Amino acid sequence: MFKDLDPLLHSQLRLAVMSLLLGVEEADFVYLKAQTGATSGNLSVQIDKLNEAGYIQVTKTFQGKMPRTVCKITAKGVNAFDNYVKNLKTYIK
Amino acid sequence: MRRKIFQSKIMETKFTEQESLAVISEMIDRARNNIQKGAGTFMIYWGCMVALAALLNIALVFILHGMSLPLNYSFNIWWIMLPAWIGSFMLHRKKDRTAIVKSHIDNIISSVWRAFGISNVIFLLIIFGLSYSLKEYNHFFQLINPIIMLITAVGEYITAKLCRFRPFLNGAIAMWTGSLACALAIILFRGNGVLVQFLILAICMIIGFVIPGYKLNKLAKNTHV
Repeated sequence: MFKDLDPLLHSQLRLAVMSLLLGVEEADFVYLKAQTGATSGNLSVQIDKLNEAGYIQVTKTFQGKMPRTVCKITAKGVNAFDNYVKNLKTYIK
Repeated sequence: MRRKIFQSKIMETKFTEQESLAVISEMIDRARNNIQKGAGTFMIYWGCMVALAALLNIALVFILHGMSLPLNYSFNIWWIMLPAWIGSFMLHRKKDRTAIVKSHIDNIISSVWRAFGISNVIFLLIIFGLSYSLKEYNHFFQLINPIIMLITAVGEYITAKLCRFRPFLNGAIAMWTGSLACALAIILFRGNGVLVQFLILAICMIIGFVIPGYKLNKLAKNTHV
């Protein structure tokens, strides 16, 4: 039986961000941009969506005069990712 | 399929289940293989500091001997470790602030070396406490180098296994060998054994810390993270 995939995660960039954050403690916007190859604008929008859903925690600070955005996956995000992968398996089988 | 997806920049689009798996696999792989630039700098820093202090200690023994002063004054060179620790702490804070990614392994490795530092301080307190209360210095002080090297080997072995980086494993082996050699130095050279211990310590710090640190920095530079 096919289960609905979480629409928030079933998009390339958001899934890429979540997969990256799952493997690290926390990551800077610069790192996420370099690893995904996304544009700043697009990545920023997708990070906001994940943050609003509570899947990631975004901390904005300043490093000298430069703004800095650090992202960290939340427990809710880990659960959502886990469910997404479980549901994905039903399609692959 | 994986290559095809990442040939172009990731866009915010819907995609198939197979592509979804490819994204997860690719990104987890990327996150796993990241090594921060300058990751080996701490190893180089501590390797140089300890090797330098050990060699200066040997040099001071000869200088004090020439001046007919008590040779145990030479051990005061190890107070240099206090400003060295402050320097390391500041370097760590700067690295923490500027790191663009912090992995779970980075956190575990930091904890291992923090535990190493705490263990060393407690060990030194035990050695100095016992030697002063029992008025027995030489035998207790001869244990400092081999035991600290033994604790260092444990930290380096865990780091090697976590990072899956062979030079750290070589470093741990060097420390274990050095620890045994330090004990042997006392048996073979008796009174001059401590001097030989410092020479062994300096060599082991270069093999076990400076060289792996340099290799790790080179690897990090090549991975462009």
